[in-house]
Amino acid sequence: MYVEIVGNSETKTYDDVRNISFAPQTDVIGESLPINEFAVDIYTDDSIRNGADIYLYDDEDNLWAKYWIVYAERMDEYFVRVRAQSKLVLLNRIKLPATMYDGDTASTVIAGIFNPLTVEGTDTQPVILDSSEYSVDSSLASETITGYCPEQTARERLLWVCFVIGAYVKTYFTDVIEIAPLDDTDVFVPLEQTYWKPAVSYADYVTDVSVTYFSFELDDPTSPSGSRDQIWYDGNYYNVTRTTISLANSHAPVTAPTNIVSISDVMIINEDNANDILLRMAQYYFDRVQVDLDAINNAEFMPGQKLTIYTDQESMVSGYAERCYFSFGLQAKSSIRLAGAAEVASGKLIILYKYGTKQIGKKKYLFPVGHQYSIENPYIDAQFNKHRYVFRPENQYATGTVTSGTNTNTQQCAVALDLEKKTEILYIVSVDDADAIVVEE
Amino acid sequence: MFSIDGVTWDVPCTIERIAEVTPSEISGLLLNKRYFNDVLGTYMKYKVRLAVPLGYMEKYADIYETLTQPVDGHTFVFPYNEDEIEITGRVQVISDRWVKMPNDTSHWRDTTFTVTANHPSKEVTLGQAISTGMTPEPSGVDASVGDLFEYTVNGWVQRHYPDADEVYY
Repeated sequence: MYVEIVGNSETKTYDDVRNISFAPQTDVIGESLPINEFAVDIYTDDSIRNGADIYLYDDEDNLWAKYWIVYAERMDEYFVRVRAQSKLVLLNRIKLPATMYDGDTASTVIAGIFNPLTVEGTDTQPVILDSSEYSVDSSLASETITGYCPEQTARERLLWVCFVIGAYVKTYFTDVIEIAPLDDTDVFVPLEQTYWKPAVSYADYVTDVSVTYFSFELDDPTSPSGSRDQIWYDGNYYNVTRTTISLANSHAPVTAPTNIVSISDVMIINEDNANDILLRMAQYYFDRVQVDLDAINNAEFMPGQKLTIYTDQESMVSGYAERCYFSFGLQAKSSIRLAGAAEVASGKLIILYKYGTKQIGKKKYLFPVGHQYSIENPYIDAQFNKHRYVFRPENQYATGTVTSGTNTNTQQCAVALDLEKKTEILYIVSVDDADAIVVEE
Repeated sequence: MFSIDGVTWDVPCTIERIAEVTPSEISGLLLNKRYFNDVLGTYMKYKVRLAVPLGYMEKYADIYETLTQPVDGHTFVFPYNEDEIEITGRVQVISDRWVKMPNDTSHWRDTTFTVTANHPSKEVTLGQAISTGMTPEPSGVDASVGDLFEYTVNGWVQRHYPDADEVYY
């Protein structure tokens, strides 16, 4: 791993680093908006200042984080301890006025949230965050916002907007602040990347979820309604109507104590989006499984992804990753927390390797039902009729889709090498445009 | 014979060579019951015992002063297989004994010190570590029509020159 620091229009690379602390997290249900950060000791005698942009890379030059330095302290003549945070933290400093939205697009609303940071710079107010440093996914940009936001910090307003449109904020493995949709696509964590052994626990049953949605009607000043539930905005009173909808957890036993999760004060929840929000909350809170696992993770798995993981060699669960705490060697390992997870149906896959009718090898796997696999077939060193050979697979990959129960896939092999003679030849007959070699024995 | 910071010391000595294939702290047992060995690299360690002749005490004092300098490392050259290896290594402890003989002579003896390399002498890149595994067909070479590859214990090796008995060189 290494870092780059941009200061005074100059980018400098620091290879000698130690004690990297990086634990990105996100909140997939939108209850909070975590500010991600990393810390690192840098071996240098340079003076490193707050406010500079700092990039964290791995040895394959993949970007892990782009943050800005909030703390730099020289520990001794050799090392400087640096802590950097996502610029999302700047939204805490901005107070936005109360606003009534009426069908404004999410991209417009979010631009308004970031606007105080992205205005043209002057000598006394430099640009802190360039407008290219945040993005709204195209699938979310045209979602509409209707309702009322009171005076609040920009961070709290962004939290409300993300909650309503079903987005989460991603500030890791990217150089921008991404407002992204939750992706239902399962990302599979293989057995050979999962450490022994994931810890599974169960949250208390949530018996119900409920959502309150709002509508606002301008009060006639010539004939006031006298309602006690009003807001004052832009010189007018608006009558507020609150309606609560709820959903019971059909999986909760009748003996489970009442445990209701409710959202009742987000005033940009309206009749159009309330049901979607309710279903999203139900999907998260009604699934009780929580898993903590360690995985070999070279930036393949990250918070906000829906991961399917093994809890042991026979069972699997699927849920959203909420945090990944990294530790580093040559590769990287992360401790991952899955929340709102559920057990998934799985099927066994057995790949049989045969030479003619004789079985010379076997491999067993467990995959989720519906998983499309493509497993590279190995060369096999085996005995046949008391004679040792190396067998090569006739197909490079075994492919298929896993169904429930046991799935068997037979792969034929041919002789590649007679180990008793130790000579066997491949004669190249052609090389295709992609430089793939076509061989003939 | 070895050298320290460019100065060769041709003194009687025994050199013990140790190679440490060093795993990182994230190595551990995986769910498929395989041990994940995340190797940072191979670090060389050399244990040196000097048998300094009596007439060599002045030169020995020079070696001693060099080794005991409070620096983070020296450049050493040690024997390595049929050749030599240069490593930048640290010496943390040097020990010896002062012996006074009955005939009023005295000398230092039984000097030992251990050199531990600061950098790995062998390592793989992150990309190589992630993509380990056997390649089914010859790869990474420029193959042309008519090339011949032989499968050996070291994998696929290209052969160019068959003789009349079809033995390939």
